[in-house]
Amino acid sequence: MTKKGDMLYAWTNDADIQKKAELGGAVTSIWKYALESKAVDAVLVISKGKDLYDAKPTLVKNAAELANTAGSLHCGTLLLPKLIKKYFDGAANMKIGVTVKGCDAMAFYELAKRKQINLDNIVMIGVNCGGSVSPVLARKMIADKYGVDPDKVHKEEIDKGQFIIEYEGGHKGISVDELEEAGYGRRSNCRRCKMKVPRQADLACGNWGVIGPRAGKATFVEVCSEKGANLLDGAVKKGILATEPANPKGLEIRGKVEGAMMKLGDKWRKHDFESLGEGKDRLKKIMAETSRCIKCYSCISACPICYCVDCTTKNPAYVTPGEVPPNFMFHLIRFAHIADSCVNCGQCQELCPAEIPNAMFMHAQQVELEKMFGHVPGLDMELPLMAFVEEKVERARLHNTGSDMIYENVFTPLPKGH
Amino acid sequence: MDFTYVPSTCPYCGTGCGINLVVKDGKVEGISPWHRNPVNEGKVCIRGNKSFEFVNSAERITTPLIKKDGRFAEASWEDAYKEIAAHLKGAKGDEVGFVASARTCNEDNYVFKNLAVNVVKTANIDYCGRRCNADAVKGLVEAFGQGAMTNSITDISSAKAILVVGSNPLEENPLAGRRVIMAQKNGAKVIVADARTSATAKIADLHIAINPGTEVAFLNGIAAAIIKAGRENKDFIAQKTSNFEKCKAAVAPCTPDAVAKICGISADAVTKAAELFTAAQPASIVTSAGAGSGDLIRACANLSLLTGNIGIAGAGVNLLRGKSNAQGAMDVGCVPQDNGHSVPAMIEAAGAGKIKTLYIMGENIASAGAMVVDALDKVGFLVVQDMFMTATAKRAHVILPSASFAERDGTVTNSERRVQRVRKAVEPVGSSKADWQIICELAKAMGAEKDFAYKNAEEIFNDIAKKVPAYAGITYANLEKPEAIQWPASGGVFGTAVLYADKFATRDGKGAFSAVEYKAGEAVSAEYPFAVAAQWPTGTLSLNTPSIVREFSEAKVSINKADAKTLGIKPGSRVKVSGKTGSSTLAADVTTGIKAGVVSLPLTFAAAAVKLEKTEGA
Ligand SMILES: Cc1cc2nc3c(=O)[nH]c(=O)nc-3n(C[C@H](O)[C@H](O)[C@H](O)COP(=O)(O)OP(=O)(O)OC[C@H]3O[C@@H](n4cnc5c(N)ncnc54)[C@H](O)[C@@H]3O)c2cc1C
Ligand code: SF4
Ligand code: SF4
Ligand code: SF4
Ligand code: SF4
Repeated sequence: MTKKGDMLYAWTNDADIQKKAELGGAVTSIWKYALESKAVDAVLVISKGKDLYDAKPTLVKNAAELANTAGSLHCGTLLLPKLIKKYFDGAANMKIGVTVKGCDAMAFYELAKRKQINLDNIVMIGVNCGGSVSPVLARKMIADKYGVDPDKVHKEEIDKGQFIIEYEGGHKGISVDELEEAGYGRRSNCRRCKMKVPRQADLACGNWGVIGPRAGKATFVEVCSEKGANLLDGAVKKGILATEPANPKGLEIRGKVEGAMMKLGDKWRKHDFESLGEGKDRLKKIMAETSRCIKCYSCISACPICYCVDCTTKNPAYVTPGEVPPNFMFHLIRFAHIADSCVNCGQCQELCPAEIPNAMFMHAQQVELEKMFGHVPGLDMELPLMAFVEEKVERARLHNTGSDMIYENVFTPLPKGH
Repeated sequence: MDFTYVPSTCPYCGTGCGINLVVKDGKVEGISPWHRNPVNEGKVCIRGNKSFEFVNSAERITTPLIKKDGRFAEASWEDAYKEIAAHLKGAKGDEVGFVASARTCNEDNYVFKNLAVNVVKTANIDYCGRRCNADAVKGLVEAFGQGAMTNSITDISSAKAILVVGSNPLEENPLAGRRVIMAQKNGAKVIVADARTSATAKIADLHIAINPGTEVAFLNGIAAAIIKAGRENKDFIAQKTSNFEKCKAAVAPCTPDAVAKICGISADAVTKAAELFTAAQPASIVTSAGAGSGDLIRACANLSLLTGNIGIAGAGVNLLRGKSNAQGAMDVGCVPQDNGHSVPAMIEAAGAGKIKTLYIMGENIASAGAMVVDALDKVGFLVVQDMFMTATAKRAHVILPSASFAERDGTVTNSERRVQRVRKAVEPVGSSKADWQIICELAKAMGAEKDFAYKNAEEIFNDIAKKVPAYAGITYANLEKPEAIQWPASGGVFGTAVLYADKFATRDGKGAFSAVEYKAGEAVSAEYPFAVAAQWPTGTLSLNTPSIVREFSEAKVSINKADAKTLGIKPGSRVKVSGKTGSSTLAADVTTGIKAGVVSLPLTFAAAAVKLEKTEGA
């Protein structure tokens, strides 16, 4: 019997999955078991769209289709939890399994705190994450730095500090440091990310720590919950998956790599946050950059902390409708509402057409708030500093007072029945 | 539950951003970023972000409608085709007009043109929006050989200097505007000439508030200053161009002082702009097509040739298009045939009773003002093919409901000549059909099924690739890659990103300078004292997209603060704006972001000069 805290090597017995899998195919095999045993109604995973740079969220209900979704896409920079909120009623009525990177896992918890997702209906298999690369930039990087036609590449991976490509005619690796020095490499939020092993998922899977004869052929699995342990046991019992205890030496190596990655994250935080200056200088910098905003609302659409039915940035009392660029209040509203809970997922920056480093600004503030108040977002169900309100209830409360001005109403008690 | 992503192309502007339609149980429920598309890398503006809303609008027309006794009655497709066929069959070619669309797909416009020219036998075919584009395109053809943007949207970001004139990309073509921002972040200097402090002007390193309509004088002034300083690219001019002397003579009188006077700016601004534009290569010119912009384009072309900024990445004359398929509609031939009427000429002829039957696909031309509406009312038989009951559709005798971009397959060609796919993600609402399908079925009803026996959009596209030289070598299969193909396809796997790398497409292979003179437009007068900086049509798609209506709920006229004070106009006051051809009453937007003596407003009537009156009770 597997239990929370166990560290295992796992590999699939399914030939189709093995062909496509990144390593041992543990993730996909467990999903197969979960679907077949009806532990979940569907799984939402990332699969290849038009090519290996095109990551596409894919809903799978039929276990036979799972093999196509195996393998890691390092250009997959998507965030799945917000999709579950938007298009799956926050998993209110169906059980969904989701493969999560660290940022996905964190976003799940933040949305769950805000009652936008029912975590009871979510099963998370985490993948360790050293970072992801925006697809168009990745192609440019492969052409410029590797001198290889990006369409000739059939596999890319990040291993031992290198971004490695396999292409017609060979393989080539360049150190991530060198690439990032040249303006390529991982997204800027990924460089600062310290959620390398997503232990808030039910299982955390990766390649770090797989050594010896199973190197490259097994997945390292850390069991993070009872739910995870049961799934793993079930898959083994059905013969879909095989496991053995992790090699202690491998475990040690994995710890070291994780530590090194954390240090690297700290280095980038220092680098990025220092570049923002302090106090008034920082404010000036933020104001200058955000003054290009074209008010596309993409940051709000994508942010896992934003969930309101009617966003305050659309209140004409604060932000004049149709005015581009909007006044600074547009961004202040975001800072005020999000900063204590930002999980540094990078969506608001990667999707910003005005090239505003939004995630960097928000993350910088989150880190300051964390220093002051000790609240760490994305780890568990602990509520943020400014405990949330339920949108509908709060709107109803305001409505019943006859005014929608929150400051007039903030001390008016909730109407009966709530 | 079914859940899929279907990659498509934004239906709004000529930037052609890639988007993913999020389809859940047969309905488009949202838009998701398509990071892999090279044009926009997953980023979109508000319009792209909300472009699914109009697809699901309750206002969509769902069945054919035939007007009887002044009221629309639902009809079968068969009856609608019969009615139209009966009218078209008896009609004389020169009494019929066909208005194609800069919004529908290449396939639709191609069969539309064939119906007009080969079946109805009229030369009166044009696409709406060409009103503005035709002139600009002609200018490009004369100077360089091809009627399209010389470079790519992507490569604007590698420019070292950018001159934006007659355009506000940050608001009008935002994902092209992004490239200006990227270039600036890499050190490029951005010069913006605009009477308004537009969003683009706000990010400029040098914003020059020239008077509306004086762009040509300004550009000539820059050219003159460059020549005077000896900073023209002499080798390039000698080897690759013709007619330089003509241009040189024409711009000679445009001294900084003379230009300053015309444009209402300082003489210094002209020399400064010339300095910045020539300080580094590549230098790019970004512009959009407004009415009568042929000379503007010629003046831009002169500047590019003068400095050797053509045929290399990050340079060129980059004509950004307002509508998603303005380029494609022209490419596939929806332009007046021998002696045929253009859209404005058709409207004039309709007004004079000379055009008796008009067939309009996917355009709301009535939004251009009272003159057009009057002409439409005079047309004996009007067919409108549209998704919505527009002001134009209301005047139709038969309305044919079109499927939206999410409900059919096809291709659109963006400003940078990139031919991209739209894909059928859901079934059309009601009994609506893809535009090409409607036209083919109508052709069949007219007995011309042989040339319209297409089973799908791809078959039509294959015909286009055969008949239109620019599209040779393009197939649906090679459009599957997110890069798709920028015509001409012969330039490489993904076509041609930068035109004229080797030589120009003109007859002698040289870039042709031209002598462009500034012609003063309708001047402000005592009667109409305000110059109009910009007018924009109100789009049918936007009007049916609640998130956009919320941003722009009220049509506004922007007025300089000092002018407003003189006229007693306050923010939100109702103001009657009148010009020679019409008037409308709008809310006042009082701002310091526009030059004194200048206004900007939505297009309800075309005007270069207007007067303002605060209306009663405001
Ligand atoms: C961007 C990224 C970076 C990674 N970096 C590291 C690392 O530094 N160290 C380490 O030990 N492991 C890392 N991994 C995890 C590793 O690559 C394997 O995913 C993991 O070991 C599981 O292997 P498997 O054979 O069991 O998975 P498989 O059975 O092959 O299944 C892989 C699963 O990952 C999903 N997936 C693929 N791409 C993405 C994506 N972009 N976002 C979310 N889900 C995705 C697939 O849909 C599938 O469910 C990374 C994974 C990703 C996606
Ligand atoms: S933010 Fe962290 S978890 Fe998310 S993709 Fe980047 S490195 Fe991975
Ligand atoms: S603010 Fe940006 S980085 Fe932070 S959680 Fe929201 S989208 Fe992610
Ligand atoms: S994504 Fe960028 S441009 Fe769009 S609203 Fe947010 S900050 Fe503004
Ligand atoms: S820039 Fe143009 S094409 Fe791109 S999303 Fe906006 S409207 Fe659509």
